[in-house]
Amino acid sequence: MRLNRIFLIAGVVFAVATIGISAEADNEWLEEWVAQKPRAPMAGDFSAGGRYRNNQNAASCRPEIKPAVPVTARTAHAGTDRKCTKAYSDLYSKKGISISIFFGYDNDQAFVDDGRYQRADLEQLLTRPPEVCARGVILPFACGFKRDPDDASSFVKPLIGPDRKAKRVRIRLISSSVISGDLRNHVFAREQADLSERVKQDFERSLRTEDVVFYSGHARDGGGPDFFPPRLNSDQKVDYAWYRKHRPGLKEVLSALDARSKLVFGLFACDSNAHFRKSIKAVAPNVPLILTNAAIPITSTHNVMVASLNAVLGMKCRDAFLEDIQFSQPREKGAPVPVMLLDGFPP
Amino acid sequence: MSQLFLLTWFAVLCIPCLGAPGDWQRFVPSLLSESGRQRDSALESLRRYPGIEAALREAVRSGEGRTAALEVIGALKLVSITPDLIQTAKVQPRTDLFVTLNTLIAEGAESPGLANFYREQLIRRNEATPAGAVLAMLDGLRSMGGELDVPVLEGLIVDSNSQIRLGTLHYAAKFLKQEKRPEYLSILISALAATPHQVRLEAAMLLDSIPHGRKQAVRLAAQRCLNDAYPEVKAACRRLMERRRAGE
Repeated sequence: MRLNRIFLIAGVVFAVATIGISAEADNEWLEEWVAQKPRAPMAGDFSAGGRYRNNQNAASCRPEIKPAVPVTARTAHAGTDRKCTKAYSDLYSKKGISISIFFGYDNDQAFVDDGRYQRADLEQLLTRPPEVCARGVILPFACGFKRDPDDASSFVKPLIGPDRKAKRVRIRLISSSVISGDLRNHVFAREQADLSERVKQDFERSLRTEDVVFYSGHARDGGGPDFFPPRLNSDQKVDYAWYRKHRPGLKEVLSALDARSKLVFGLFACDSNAHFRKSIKAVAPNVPLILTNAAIPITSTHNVMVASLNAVLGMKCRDAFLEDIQFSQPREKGAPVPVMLLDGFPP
Repeated sequence: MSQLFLLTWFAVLCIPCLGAPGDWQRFVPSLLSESGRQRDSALESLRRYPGIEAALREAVRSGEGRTAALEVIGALKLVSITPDLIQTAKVQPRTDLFVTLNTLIAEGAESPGLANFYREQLIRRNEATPAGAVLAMLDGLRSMGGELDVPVLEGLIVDSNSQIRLGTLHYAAKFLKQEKRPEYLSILISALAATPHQVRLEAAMLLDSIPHGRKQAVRLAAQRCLNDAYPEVKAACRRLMERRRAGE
């Protein structure tokens, strides 16, 4: 009887301990994430390669960086670092700065988000009136643009550069799908084929001529930026094996860049660091890159892209740049956090 | 004694499978993966996750983990959560809520109720309504066959946001292609003289793809854009004129 009681107590203790350990082991990172414990960035977060350690697999996966100053008090030319100031002086050395933002083509599902909705929201954000921008809104530099009355893709605004001279910023937004959802676009197959080809050529040209190029879309598992309806396999699913083998989008990027390229290039696609960084750096070592280190939802991708745009327009150096990215994320517990990498930007 | 061993056995093997509240979110990164295998595995795990629907409803309602929840709802096509999404979208008309609702339409989300909700929202929209949400509602209505009154479309076609103008054109064209609502033709015809030039181009292309219509009116309107400053608009207009002439 006594032996039974000892076993019972031991069993209960063992069971409780097991539950505790398993819960802790499985959910430690998740609890941190859900709890959103604020953590100030540490020196180790910014390694020499510029890697921002915000890995979802790590125990601490959501460092929330509180803005050091109120948004209203933020100014352009936030950088004090000489290299950073030099980088922005070079970027803003001309009378104008040209920024092109490309939205890639979506997968083969109806109604999935293909950039049109993000583009519509971005247009709304960019064209907030200047008096609204001055009121201390979120992302104040991506604001106050005027749309070209006869060109839906073009937005302009004046800006004071690092040399204290007036500059003209021009942003182009370029979508690659005729309408939302690939299944629907089969109806407009001819128009879609024309549009995809035009956008592809525009993208290649922009990599050669623009000051900043952002791509927001699929990575095609390493295939590269893609503006065409996806190639499907016999199961009618995206043929990733083909994309991995042929890498059509990446090849186009590499052929457009060279050692003299100096544009700021943001690849807002899943795992763009792992897929593209080495190849791009091999042909264009001077190109500052903004990359992701994980698969992230399109909402987060879009937020990060807009925050990066704000940071470039606000001439922000690394810490302030990353702060913008964190600040742009939805203020909701448990939101997936993009894992970003700034390579060489600002150098 | 055997009960004790059973309890221990349960504790060691089964408790970790149950996970903690919110644990479903750990499958979301795999769900977003471009690897089909990882995605399928995540989908299967989420389907078998105990109480997943209740957890997602709570996330949608409370806002905690909503972004992740919307990804899961769309991927699992959980039509039963449609009322919760509608309730939340009434209070917070966020673009991603409407996009998720649209993913459920093909799976049989309650169309009449949803269509009415979209109609109301489009009529009541104001400056605070995200442009992406307006566009998503237009896309959703187009898919459901939900009709809008012409004055509502006339308001949408002159919206300052170019994507909303383009979405309105595609909405109207869908009905015209199905030989319904001939009065929508005026929306497309007026767009041939509208700005920006992308709207004129899209209108010309869409009119070209509509098999019937008031040929005379279309031809007259197309004449306006035959000398457009943009070569692609000019070409689309010329094609439209030639086809209409050939079709007579």
